[in-house]
Amino acid sequence: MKKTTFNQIVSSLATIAWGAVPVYFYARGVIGNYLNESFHLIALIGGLAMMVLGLFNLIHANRQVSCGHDHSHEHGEKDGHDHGPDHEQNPVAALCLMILPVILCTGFTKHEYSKEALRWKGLYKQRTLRSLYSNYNAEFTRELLEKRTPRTREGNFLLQFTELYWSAGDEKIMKVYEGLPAQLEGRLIEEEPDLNHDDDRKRLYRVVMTCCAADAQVLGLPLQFGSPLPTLPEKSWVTARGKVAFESIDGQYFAYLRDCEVEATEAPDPRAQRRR
Amino acid sequence: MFFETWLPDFSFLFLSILVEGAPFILLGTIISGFIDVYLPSGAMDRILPRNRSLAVIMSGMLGIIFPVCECAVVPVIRRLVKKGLPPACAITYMLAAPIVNPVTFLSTYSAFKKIPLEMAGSRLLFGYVIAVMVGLILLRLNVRRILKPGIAREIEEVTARRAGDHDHDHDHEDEDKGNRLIMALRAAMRDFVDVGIYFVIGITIVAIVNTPPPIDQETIPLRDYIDGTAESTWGAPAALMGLAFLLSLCSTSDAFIAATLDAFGQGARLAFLVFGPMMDVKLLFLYSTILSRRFILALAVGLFIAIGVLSVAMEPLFEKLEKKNDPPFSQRMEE
Repeated sequence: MKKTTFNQIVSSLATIAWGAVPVYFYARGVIGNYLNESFHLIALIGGLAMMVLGLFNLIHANRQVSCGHDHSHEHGEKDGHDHGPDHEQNPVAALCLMILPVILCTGFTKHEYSKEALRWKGLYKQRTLRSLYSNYNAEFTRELLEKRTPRTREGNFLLQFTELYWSAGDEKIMKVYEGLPAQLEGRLIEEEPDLNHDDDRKRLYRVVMTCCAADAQVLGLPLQFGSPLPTLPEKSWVTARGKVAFESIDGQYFAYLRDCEVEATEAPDPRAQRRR
Repeated sequence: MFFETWLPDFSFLFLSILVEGAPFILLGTIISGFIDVYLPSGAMDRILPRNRSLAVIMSGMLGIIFPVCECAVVPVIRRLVKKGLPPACAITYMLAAPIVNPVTFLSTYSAFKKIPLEMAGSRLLFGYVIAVMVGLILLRLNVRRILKPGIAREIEEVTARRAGDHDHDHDHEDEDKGNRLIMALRAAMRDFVDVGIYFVIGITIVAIVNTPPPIDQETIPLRDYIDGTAESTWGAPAALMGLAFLLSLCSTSDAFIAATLDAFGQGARLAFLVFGPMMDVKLLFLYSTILSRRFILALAVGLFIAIGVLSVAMEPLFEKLEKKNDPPFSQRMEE
């Protein structure tokens, strides 16, 4: 086998390997863990295109189509082209830097963050976003909140997770939410021991990403239970119901749900959420 | 610890950036493959004005017509430079296109609710001005100081041949359309692998920085260090440019991250939005497929200083605009 043909084959396999990753994630239904929904279709089409490109070049790997010599040349003005003496990619580099990392990472990934990474990404922290509530041109009141928020049959307000999370920190906004019966969806995890002295708490969290998991922020909201703590597995999707409350820890306000109850639920469909 | 948490987290982050960026690199390399085979040599000379300064000014606006993000633009300009596009024009387009394009403008407009037009407009304007400034400076530099030696040599050879020193025409009448398609797709894949290798190095570093260290779990996350600089006039833009450099976000959606950094002033956030698409970890490696190392370093330092100074100068203006645009509710909150 010629060296150029071998290089061509390795490059084709590298391209196919890269394309197979998003296609595999899409087919397994885990693409949503990696990318924001707006990128799902781009990733799928891109993955398929990479596989087609790789396969096409693999099939034609042995075909001689170049000028047969290695230099630039110039054609006539109308239909000419000029291709320079591009170097052949080192097959070892393509193998070590494109194929191996992708195979290894696909083998090692658990398609989500570990608890340590969730903590690192802000699971137990509170950040405030003033601008969220400055979008209203009228005063943000309880009446306005009740008017625009749908309710369940039991009378719980279906709050967005981010909306409640960002409400902590501003006294006027906190007063609007304080005591509100609310229902939220999220994933359940252990509460930080330092924040759980009475051992009556768990934490609800959501991972919010703009593009991909690398830019994700983890937003966590404590749940305080009057009854025994739920025994659901870590990271289970749950519907949590309780009353909104706020507490100050080290001078920083946190929103939480008190007198909480939870029940296991399916992971929400992002498309349905967006429609809502 | 390493195998149980660090490696799965690293792999998760690595793959998330890979599946996000690779389709855009592919788009760029397919365009580049077709340029290689179908675009006649010297075509760029005919498209751009003969006046080099004017050509640079025009190159900064090409993103409006050919909107591409920073991952896709590198393979395209690599090929265009080989086709005779002056490096000054190519680099102006490379720096401006991820910012000066309608998609980025709209995403910035949507992300900044308080002063949408002002923020999107300033980003576009500063992105353009900085890119053109860099281009105009590059007009005075020798190609060998800007490009990788191999590429610089190639351009000089092509230029010499076109000048008649070594004109080498030959027939390709036997080349049917199928052959040209194969050549184009072969060139596309070669570019894809070439750029992909550097992209992997870049995203490996980004993933390492964003993965919690395997030993000391008490390490403070990067974001907390950065939040601590919010009140500093010079520290804030510097920290946010550093964050943009390490996060390596896509220019079409980084505005949504910038919008959440509300501990910082708008000037510092503007620095994040202008510096990030021009220079970040993954771009550092993508640029090294075409530019010389010394030039990349000079470009990074130059951009850091110029954008930092501009953002500090803009901060008072943004403060005025914010106060002017504040809705009544927000004004009451600040009382």
